[in-house]
Amino acid sequence: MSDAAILCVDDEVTILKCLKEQLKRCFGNRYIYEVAQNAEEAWIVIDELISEEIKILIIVSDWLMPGIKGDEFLTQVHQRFPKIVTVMLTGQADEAAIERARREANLYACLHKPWTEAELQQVISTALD
Amino acid sequence: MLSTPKPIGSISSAPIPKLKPKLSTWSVLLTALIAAIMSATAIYQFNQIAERSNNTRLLLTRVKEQVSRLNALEWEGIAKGEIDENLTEELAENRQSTDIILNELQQIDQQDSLSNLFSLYMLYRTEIDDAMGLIAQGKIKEAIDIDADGIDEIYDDLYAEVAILEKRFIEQKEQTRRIADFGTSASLILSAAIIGSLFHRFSNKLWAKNQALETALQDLQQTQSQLIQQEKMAALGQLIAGVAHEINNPLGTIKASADNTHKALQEALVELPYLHQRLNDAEQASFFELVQRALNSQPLIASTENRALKRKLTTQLQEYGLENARDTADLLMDMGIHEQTEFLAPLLKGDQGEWAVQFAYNLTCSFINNQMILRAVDRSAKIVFALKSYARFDQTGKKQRVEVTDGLETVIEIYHNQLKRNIELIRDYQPIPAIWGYPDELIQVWTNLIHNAIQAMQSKGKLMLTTRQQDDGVEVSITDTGSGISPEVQQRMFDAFFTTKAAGEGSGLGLYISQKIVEKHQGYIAVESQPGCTQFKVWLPIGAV
Repeated sequence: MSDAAILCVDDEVTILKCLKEQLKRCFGNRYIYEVAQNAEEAWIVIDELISEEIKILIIVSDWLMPGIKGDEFLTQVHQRFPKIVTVMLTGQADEAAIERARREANLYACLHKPWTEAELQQVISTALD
Repeated sequence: MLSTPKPIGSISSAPIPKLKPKLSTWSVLLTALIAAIMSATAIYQFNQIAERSNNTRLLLTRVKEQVSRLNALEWEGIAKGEIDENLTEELAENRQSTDIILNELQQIDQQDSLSNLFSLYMLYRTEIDDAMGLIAQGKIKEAIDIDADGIDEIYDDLYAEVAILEKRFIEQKEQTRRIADFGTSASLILSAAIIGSLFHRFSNKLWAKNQALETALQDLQQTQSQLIQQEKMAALGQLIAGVAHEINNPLGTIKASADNTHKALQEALVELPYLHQRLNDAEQASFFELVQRALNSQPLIASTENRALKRKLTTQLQEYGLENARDTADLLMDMGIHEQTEFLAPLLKGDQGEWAVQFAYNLTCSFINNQMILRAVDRSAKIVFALKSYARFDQTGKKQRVEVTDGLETVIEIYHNQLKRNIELIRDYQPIPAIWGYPDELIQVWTNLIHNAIQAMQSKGKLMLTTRQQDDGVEVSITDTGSGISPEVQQRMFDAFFTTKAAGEGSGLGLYISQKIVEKHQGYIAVESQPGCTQFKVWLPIGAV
C-alpha cells in the first residue's frame, strides 16, 4: 500500500474530479490522491494524511479561490513543509501572484487551464524524480 | 471649433516674451505719469499767468477810477474855492487807496512794463498836489491855469497809458488762457492715446491668455474623455481576466474528461474479453449490479464526512483481504457507492475483486465524464452569452427598450465565480416595466455596483438585488453586508478619481461614471450605509424614445 500522496486543491468540483482521475490513470496505485475545495479544507486533509503517516509529495493548487488565494496557501504550506513540491494550476494567470509563489513558496511549476495530460504528467514525474 | 496648434507652443514659451511687454508697459506708464505731471504744472503756471494778467487788468481799471476820482476831487476843490475838511479827508482816502493799488501793481509787475504808468502817475500827482496847494491858498485862477496847462494833458496821457496797459493785459490773459487750453486739450489727447494703447496691449494679453486657457480646457476635456475610455478599458480588462478564468475552468474540465473517457474506454475494451473468463456467475451478477448502481448515482464530492465514509469503506474492504483497499474504496466512492455494499461481497471475496471494480469504473466513468462535459459546455455557452450582452455596443446612440433585470442577470452571470461560494445571492425581483435607455451603459452601472459590493464583503456575505416600480420609473437596490462606507467617503465617492483602493488598483472613476450614466437617463443614484449594510438605490424613469 502506498504511503505517499498527491493533493489537489480547486474550488471547482469537476476540476478536482477529472484531475484526480487523470493522475490516477497516469500514476496508478503508486500514490494516494486526495482533493480539497479550498485552503481550509486542504489543511484538514494535510493533517489527516499526516496522522495516517502518509507523506505528501506534491500539492497542485488553483490560484483564484474564495478566501485564501493559491499563492498564499502554497506559501503557508512551504513554510510548514518545505519538502512538499508546490504546483499551481490556474485559469487566470496573475503574473504577480505567480512570481510571489515562485519566490515565497518555491513554486515548482505553473500549469494553465485548460492543461494537457502530457503537461501534467511531465510536471509531476520530473518533480518526483 | 478653433484650429489652435499655435497656442500650445505659446504656453510653453510664454515666460520669455512676457517679460518684454511688461517692461515697456511700465516705462510707458512712467513716461505718461511724468508727462502728466509736467503738463499739469505747465497748465497751472499758464493759468497763474492768466490770473495775474487778469488781476493786473482789474487793478489798472481801479487805477483809472482812482485817477478820475482824484481829477473830480480837484475840480470839486476848484468849484468850492477851498479845500474843506471833507475834501481833505476824501483826498487822503483816495491817496491811500491808490497807494495800495499801486503797491499791489508794483508787486505784480516784474517786467517793469508799468514803470511808465508809475512815473506818469507820480507826475500827475505832483501837479495835482501843486494845484491843491494853490486852491488851499485861494489862488483858484492859478490852479485852473495849471490844470489847463499840464494836468489835463498828463491826465490824458495817464488815461491812455492805462488803457493801453489794460488792453495788453487782456490780450496777455487771453493768450495764456489759449495756451493753457491747448495744453489741457493736448494732455487729454495724450492721456487718451496712452490709455488706449495700454488698453490695447492689455486686451491683447487677455486675448492671448484666453486662447491659452481655451486650449488648456480643450486638452483637459480630451484628457477626461480619454480617462473615461481608460476606465472602460480597465473594467473590460478586469472582466476579461475574470472571463478567462470562467472559460478556462470548463475548458479544463472538458479536455481532461475527454482524455479520461478515452483512456477508460481503451482500457475497458482491452479487458472486455476477459470478463467472462475471470468472473464466475455470482461475481458477474455482483459486477453488473455495481455498474448499474454506478450509473444511477452521483460521484461523492470531497468533504470531511465523505473522507470519513471512505475510511470506513477502506476498513470494510480490508476485511475482504484486498491488497489496495484504499484505492478500491476511492474508486467506489468516485462511483458514488459507499453504503449497502453487501452486494459486492461475491465480487470482493474472489481474487479478481480489484480488477473488476477498476473495470466497472472504466465502463461507467465515461457517463459521468460526459455529464461533466455537457455541464461545462452549458456553462461556457452561458458565459459567452453574457459577454455578448455585455459587449453589445450600441452604435446608434438611440435609446432602446431595456429590461433592467436582464442587465442585472448578465452581470451576475459574469461574476458567477465570485458569487457562487461564500456569497448568498438573494433576488427580490418584482415585475417592473421595460424602460427606455442605453442597455450597455446600464450594464456598466450594475457591474460597478455589484463589483464594489463583492469587494466590500471580501467575497463573503449576502448580496440582495431588488427591483420595484416606483412612481414613473423603476428602482433597483443593491444591498451588501460589507464593511460599510464612512460618511466622509460617502461625500466624495462620486467624485472623479476618488478611490479608497490602493494606488494602481482602482481608477476612482467607477462610481463617477455610474452616476453620469444614471444622470444621462434622468435618474438618480443614492446610498445608505452603515457597517454590515450598504444599499445603493438607482432610480430610472420609464421615459420615452
